[in-house]
Amino acid sequence: MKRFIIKILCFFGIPLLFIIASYIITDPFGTIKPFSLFYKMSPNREYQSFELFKHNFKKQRYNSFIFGSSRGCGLNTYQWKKYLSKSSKPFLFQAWGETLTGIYQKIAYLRNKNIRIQNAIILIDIPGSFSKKQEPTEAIGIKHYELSEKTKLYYQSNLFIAYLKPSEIYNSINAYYHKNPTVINFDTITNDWNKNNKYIKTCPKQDRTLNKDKFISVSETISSPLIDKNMKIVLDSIKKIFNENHTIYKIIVTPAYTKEKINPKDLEILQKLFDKKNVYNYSGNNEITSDKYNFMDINHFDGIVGWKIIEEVYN
Amino acid sequence: MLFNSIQFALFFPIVFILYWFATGKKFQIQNILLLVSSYYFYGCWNWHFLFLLIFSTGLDYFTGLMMADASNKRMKQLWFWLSVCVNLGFLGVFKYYNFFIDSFAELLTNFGLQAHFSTLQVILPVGISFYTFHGLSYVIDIYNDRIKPERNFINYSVFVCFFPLLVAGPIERATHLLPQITKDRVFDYSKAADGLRQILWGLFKKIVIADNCAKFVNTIFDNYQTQSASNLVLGAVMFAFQIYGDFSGYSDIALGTARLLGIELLRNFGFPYFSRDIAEFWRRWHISLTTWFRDYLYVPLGGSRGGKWMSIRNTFIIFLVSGFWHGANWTFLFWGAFHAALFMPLLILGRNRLHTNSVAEGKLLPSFREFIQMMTTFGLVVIGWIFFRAPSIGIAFKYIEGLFSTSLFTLPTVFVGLGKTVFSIFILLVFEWKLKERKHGLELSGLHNGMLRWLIYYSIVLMILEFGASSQSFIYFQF
Repeated sequence: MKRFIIKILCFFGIPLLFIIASYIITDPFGTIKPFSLFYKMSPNREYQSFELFKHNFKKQRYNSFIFGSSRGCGLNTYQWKKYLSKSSKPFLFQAWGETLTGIYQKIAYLRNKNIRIQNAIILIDIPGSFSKKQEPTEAIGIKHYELSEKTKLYYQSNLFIAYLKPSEIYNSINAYYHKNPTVINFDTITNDWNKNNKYIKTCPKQDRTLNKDKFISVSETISSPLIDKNMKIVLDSIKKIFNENHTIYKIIVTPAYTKEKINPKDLEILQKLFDKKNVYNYSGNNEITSDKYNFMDINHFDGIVGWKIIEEVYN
Repeated sequence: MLFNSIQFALFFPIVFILYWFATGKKFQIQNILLLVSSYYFYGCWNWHFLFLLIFSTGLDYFTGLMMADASNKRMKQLWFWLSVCVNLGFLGVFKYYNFFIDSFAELLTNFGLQAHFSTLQVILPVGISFYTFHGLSYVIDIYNDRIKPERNFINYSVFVCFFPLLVAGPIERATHLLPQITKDRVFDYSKAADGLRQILWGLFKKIVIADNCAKFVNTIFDNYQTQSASNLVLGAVMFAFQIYGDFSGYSDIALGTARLLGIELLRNFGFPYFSRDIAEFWRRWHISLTTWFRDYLYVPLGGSRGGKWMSIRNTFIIFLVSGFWHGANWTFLFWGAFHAALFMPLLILGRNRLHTNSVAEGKLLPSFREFIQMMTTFGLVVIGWIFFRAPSIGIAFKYIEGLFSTSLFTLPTVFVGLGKTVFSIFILLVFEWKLKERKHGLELSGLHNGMLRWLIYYSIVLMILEFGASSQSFIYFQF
């Protein structure tokens, strides 16, 4: 038995100690040391968004918010601001694979901190926003501990598990060794993902999309009904907070080249709850989704579409 | 709690340490620990169904005693049928009730009658098919005077609820497992080391093979109408590896875990995709279920004692019941019937026991004839899997219809991650082929070079960490 235990400890223990040490030293996800714009940026967009928000809030006093998944990278708050009151201070909250629960957690956080939500846009992905999957295990998707009300230790242990990939460990050590500089590719005040979006309103088609050849032609499919009892409760809670804040809000069902259309039952639920005039549906086959040049990849519409959507919604 | 979860990685070492160090190696105390751990393990999934599990255990324990103490045969029969009916009743209610009601309503509709029956809104208790069969085998064995009842409730409960086998088998026999539970267990280094190897191999099969294949399988089966024929072939072959990796991976982890606790479980898989005919495939696939049906259904039905036709009838029944055991859907029944149809020619020609040894025994490569036999058998099994995976028989036929198109000769879509999955399958086949005469694909006890052994272990660990797909539940949990 003694021999067995020793061998097990040698087999697992020594590599594990090395990996733990490399995790602490290289800080692969920029979550061990405190957040700073001059330090490593987390690849987890939610962590980065949320930390940036906390970092800036005292000075910026944000009061208008866009909530949604990575599809929010097509929108920009500079354009949005044109349709809001002068006192508006917009901020983009993004999270990889954001679900309704994730959006609610952020809205609830703002309410708990007594931050007024004057204006809001909620971006709905089909089917991602209504996903019933458990919390993502990928480093880019693990929920921020303050939002999901977990402990920091739990959060770090989840990130550590995500770190347990030979390529991840290698890349992290390599970046640390070569002292790769921090790349900031978002607006450090509004958190807009593509800083250039605010300048792009028109652009020749052929210059717009990346990986055009990866676009496979697909026909429209209608999603199965995804809003269940629990999601209705979440939606009700969001609406309640909006009512408390007298928020002016818009719910946008985003376009995707996959052409998956929101189920009419789900759309009806959204329209009933948030009022028909506040719900905009761009899912399924339409003018935007029938043109691949409107997308950076099959899931993400580009900045030009973002401009078009904001214009349509607010005019 | 899944075997491939962090919770289990924390749970099992604690159980292991307590089991060998805190119980004084007394089997009575070890059994209490195993029972508490097993209830915790099961309760992590849904603690409400623990009551059903405990009731089912208590019923079989009690009827076992009553049968043994019965004053006459009539009383013994009464207790026996009570247990059988209640056990099958639970299975019927939780697993098959909605299926029968829906099918009956559909039948009436076909005759122009409108019927509205209410169905049950219940989830299937995980492992119910497995622990019900455990209990049934115990009761049947007592009824047939093959074993004496276990009078200690803890010991009997461990036999039914032992956590490595509780939710997805192997389906154990009282004659095999109970004697191990009722005596002192001795820690055996070589067995424990091999148990760890088997766990590692099981994790590789589950996390690297099955979970990666699942991504392609789901995409292709969910969109079969728009897929090229070559993609449909890819989807079906990937499902063959998914279900093998998933279920045999689970069995490997279960066997390895039990071996670390000094308990040997029944072997469940014997490299089934190296079979040369369907009969051999069924001697190598889900062995504990196949032999269960052989001993508790085929033989009582008369087996082959009544001549060829009785044997054919009984074999057909076994395949249908086996298909239906997997789930309340016509697709599983059809899958069973399909395998029965493949088995029949071998049975009629008396060639069903032609291949009882391992293919290419002692050789590096199979002969051309063996290779063709293996590929043919694999191809037939893959066609069967289409029915197993498809949501309805109609869709399965449409899927097969889609295979007959000129696009069969085009290259399948190169999905993201396909390369690493194919490479992993290649590794799986190489290891299992090399070690096909052993118990599992990583039984390296004959390899004396310790450095090389550790190199192989680390390579497997690295593959699990690097190539492993996100954790998914085991397919056989639904059965």
